[in-house]
Amino acid sequence: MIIAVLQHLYRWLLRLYPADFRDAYAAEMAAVFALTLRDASHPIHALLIGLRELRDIPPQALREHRYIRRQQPTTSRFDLAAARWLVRTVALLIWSIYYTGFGSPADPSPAIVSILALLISMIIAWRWEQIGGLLVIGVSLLFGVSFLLGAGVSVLFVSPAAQTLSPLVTISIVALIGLGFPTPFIIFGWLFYRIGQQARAAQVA
Amino acid sequence: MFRRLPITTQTDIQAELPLTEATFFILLSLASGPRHGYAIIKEVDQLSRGRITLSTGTLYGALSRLLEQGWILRVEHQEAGSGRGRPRKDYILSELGRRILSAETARLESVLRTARVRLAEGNA
Repeated sequence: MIIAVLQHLYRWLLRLYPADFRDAYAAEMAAVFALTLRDASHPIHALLIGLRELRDIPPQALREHRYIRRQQPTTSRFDLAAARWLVRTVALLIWSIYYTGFGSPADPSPAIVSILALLISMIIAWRWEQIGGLLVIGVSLLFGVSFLLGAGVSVLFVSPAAQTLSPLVTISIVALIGLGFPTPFIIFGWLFYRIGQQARAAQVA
Repeated sequence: MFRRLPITTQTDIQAELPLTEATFFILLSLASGPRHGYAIIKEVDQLSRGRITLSTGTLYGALSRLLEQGWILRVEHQEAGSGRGRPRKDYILSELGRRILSAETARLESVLRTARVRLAEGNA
């Protein structure tokens, strides 16, 4: 009775091992465990051996999990998930800062339209990282270029504040906004794209 | 998973030493022929004069590592007297495993020699 319970517990605890290890050795381990109990000189001795074996399984299983993790390349599932969430969080943070800096959705300025377009691209990137990443880069570039060539220049040149500044300072400000605004998004778009690539490579592997 | 490069030279073998006591005794238990898991546990217990009692978890963790390193091999054969013809898995020492075991034995001999000389000098 005791031996049957011990064997049942042992087989249950073997589930703690990584799947590959379990597939390769679990049946053999259970058979060896059964032999060890069978050869014990006394039921009490069998109980002690059984308990020692049961106690040994969780740390050994943990060791195997650690070993497998150490053997995995840096693009392991865990690292990839961490990188994915980091990029998502930072991208959202940057987007929030830009959003609060440029106005509210009620104000349909080109900047707000661009920020909303970026948000949509980032939502797409959340699910389809490669396509979304390229979209984020594209929208950012489009906004930067359009700001440099069109709306930004005219707004700054006709605004009363811009009239008080020298043309060089005005152009510098326009260039800084035109290039500065899309840069973080281009970086995050590229990171989304790379993470998508790594995830696909990991999936293939 | 990353695969270890095959060990080919004496320098490579030396880099694997010293072995843990459990690994040494597992390899030693296989030196005289193939053995299955339970026989290895019994043999290690006997060879170490009861000092090392391997649990099944420790044994199979070590065997998995040794197989991966190519120091031992796993062979299947039909269990004698088994009506259902259940295959039994035996472990055997590979050529590389034998070379590693010999190198470790030589290293231990050298350590022992040095210790004996030093102790003899102390007693003189």
